[in-house]
Amino acid sequence: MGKILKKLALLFVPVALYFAFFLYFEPNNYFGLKESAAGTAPIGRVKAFAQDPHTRLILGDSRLAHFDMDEVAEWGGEGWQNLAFGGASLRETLDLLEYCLETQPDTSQILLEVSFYTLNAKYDTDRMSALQDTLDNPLAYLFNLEYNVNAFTSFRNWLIWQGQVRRGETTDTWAQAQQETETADWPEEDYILEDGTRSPLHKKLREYVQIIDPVITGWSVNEEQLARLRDAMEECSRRGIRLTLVLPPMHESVTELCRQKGIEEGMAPVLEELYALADQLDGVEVLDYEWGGIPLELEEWQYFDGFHLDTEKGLPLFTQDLFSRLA
Amino acid sequence: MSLQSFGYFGFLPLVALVYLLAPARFQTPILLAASLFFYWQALPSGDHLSPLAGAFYHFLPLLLAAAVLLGLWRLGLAISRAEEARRRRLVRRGVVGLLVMLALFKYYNLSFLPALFGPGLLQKLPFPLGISFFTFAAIGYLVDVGRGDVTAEESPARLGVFLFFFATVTSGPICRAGKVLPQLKQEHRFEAQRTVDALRLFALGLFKKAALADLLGLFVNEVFGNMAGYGGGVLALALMLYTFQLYFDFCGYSEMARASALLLGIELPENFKTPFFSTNFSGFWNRWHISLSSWLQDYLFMPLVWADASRLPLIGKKYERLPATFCVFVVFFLSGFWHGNTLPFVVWGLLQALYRVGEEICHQKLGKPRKKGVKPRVLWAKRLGVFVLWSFSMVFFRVGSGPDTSALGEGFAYLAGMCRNWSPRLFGSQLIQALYAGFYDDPMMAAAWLAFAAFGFVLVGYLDHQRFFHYKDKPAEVVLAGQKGPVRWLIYYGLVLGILAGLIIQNGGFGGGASFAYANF
Repeated sequence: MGKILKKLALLFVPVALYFAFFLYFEPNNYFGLKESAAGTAPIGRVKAFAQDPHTRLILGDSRLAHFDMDEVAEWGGEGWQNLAFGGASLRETLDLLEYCLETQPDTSQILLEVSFYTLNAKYDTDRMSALQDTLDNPLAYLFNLEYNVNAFTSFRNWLIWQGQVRRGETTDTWAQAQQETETADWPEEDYILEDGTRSPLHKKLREYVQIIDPVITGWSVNEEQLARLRDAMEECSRRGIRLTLVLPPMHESVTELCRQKGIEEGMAPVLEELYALADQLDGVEVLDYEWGGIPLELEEWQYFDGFHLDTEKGLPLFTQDLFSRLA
Repeated sequence: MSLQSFGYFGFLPLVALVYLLAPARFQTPILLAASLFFYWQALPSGDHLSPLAGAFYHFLPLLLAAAVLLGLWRLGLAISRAEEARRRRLVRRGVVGLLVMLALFKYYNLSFLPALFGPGLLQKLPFPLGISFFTFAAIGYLVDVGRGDVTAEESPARLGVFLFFFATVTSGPICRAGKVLPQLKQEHRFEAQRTVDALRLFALGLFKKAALADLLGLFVNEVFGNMAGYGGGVLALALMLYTFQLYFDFCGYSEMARASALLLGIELPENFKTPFFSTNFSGFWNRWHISLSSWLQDYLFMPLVWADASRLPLIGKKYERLPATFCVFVVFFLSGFWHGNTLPFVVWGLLQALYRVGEEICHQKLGKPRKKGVKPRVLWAKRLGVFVLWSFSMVFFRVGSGPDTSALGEGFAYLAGMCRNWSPRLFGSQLIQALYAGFYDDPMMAAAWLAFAAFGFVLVGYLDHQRFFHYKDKPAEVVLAGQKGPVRWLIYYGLVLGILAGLIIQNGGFGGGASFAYANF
């Protein structure tokens, strides 16, 4: 039996080496072996919360996922933890809220994103149960294709970073190099249209409207999730949790598209209802940057695209304005 | 829990440890308990029903299994004590009872009953795991006891392990009482060589199932699910890959089942012996799903052939015995029914019957083929012919296995599609389309899939080739053991890394949740 076990151990050496590679390069810090997760993947953020739950939480999609947490602490005080992730639907955000309240009964403050985009009945992804299975089962994480691909991608990026360091093209540490940023300097040619005229908007802003047009066509309110949102507002108020619903800023080109599709008109009663309910509940407020409730003066170059602020040029302003109100 | 799940990787060693260390008198009860646990894990959920109805729904397969076991145990003992005439009556009653049970659960929708009574209660009842397999094992037991080939089992526990052994209950092989029951009476202890053989065999089976079959299934499912969008070349490729997928799936499972039993000291029959090297269909069926074909031969074909046909109306005037060709036709036609309860399976069975009968008629007219002195290219041409005809019939097997139980038209549409739009450029672009857009939208992942599939085919092809040409069909674990040290270890590493890659590739995001193709039988 001893010989068999020795040979089995020898046989599994490459498997062990592979998993060592995986543990080193997987960007989500699932096993807590690194300082923090790189990137904004939900598994990394929710796992970090499960390992060390904070009491002040940020929940939403990619429009809240890229805050510089040092700036958040500067303007909003210590103790914030960001669980927002790209592509989160309102259903998933609310599922995550329930999970957070179960896991951290001392939650004191929540910043929760609401948007016409996530209130769209057509956008109702539901991945929380799959995420929770992976959270609770390390084997499910180790053998998940997506996370293994992430590890290889991280390895590839590491090789690229190594080359840049050797050539003196960067002085970033590996941790800094892994930070996801959405920033760009827009050269003059990005403003020139096909007919040679100059657009006031850079290329990505112009293209974004075309990208989201089919997605938001046929927009209607997701009544089920809106009802859950109302319940969540009441629950937070009852528990003494300060809840801020934030509608993040979007570029005027997207606002105009929404106007054409009747979305602004459709959102008006929803906002009215949320404001009214917030007025009745202690500790609940609505901050609307999306439809001009709170005007934030931003230039087109401060937007990375129609929904997302440039993480270096636009997001710090939003961070300052928003978290100053939450402090 | 399936044989390729992480739960089973923990379950099997634990059962083996407890079983091999236990005193002899506890070994059968331990196996029975493990098998009951395994069966209980597979019980369907009744959450969608009221508490009482849900509990009934949940436990019905277990209750049915218990009823079959107790009924079979008592009937076996009664048969062994009865005199000749009553013995035959009891065997007939038992066989009819088992077939009626199988028919009610499996073939209700093919009968006239839904037309009279509507879909009704039976279609809402849960499908008991392995019902086709344990029913045939039970029938074989009754007939063997009736013939006096097997002594009636006095221990219901041993009989329970024979019928519901956790390694075989899902998808066979269909075991013979005369081979398995005596082994269950013996004491089993740890043996190093046997353990090594079992591990080798399990790794090979898991590689075929998890690393190959399920991966091929990703491509096959994409093409079969969107057949209208693909030309003849891609459809033909997908059909060929499905043929291999089914082989790797079923052969892999059978090897894992045999390995599980071998670990415990129990020898199970082999189910596959390099079938694609067969040069005719009679040889093919001696190599594909051997436990079923031998069961059909012993319990259906032989009784049919030896039946006194003189008492039958019309035929009885001309034949004392039913013509062998007719019996061959009936056996293969009915084998289609065993595989599935939808019309495509009926067509599949009909095709198998036609292939076999066609072969018999050719042999009668042209003489049997020579066994020696045949040129290799002639043999390979025959092998290709058998493979092509078998693959052709696989269209109906595939569409019949799907959720749409009336997919016969889909099968014919697929075959028609295979005859159209044959152009190399279209084939290339559609192949890339299927790989990219179907399930991998990353060129590196698509390339990885192709490389991995090629690696798997080379490895399994090499072992099957060795087995057929150099080892005279000795078991797969013997072939592995017979390789030279460095080659053997290279194969081991290939299997282990292949299993790792296969388990990762099919978990999370791309076609996860694979199951055994034969698990619904």
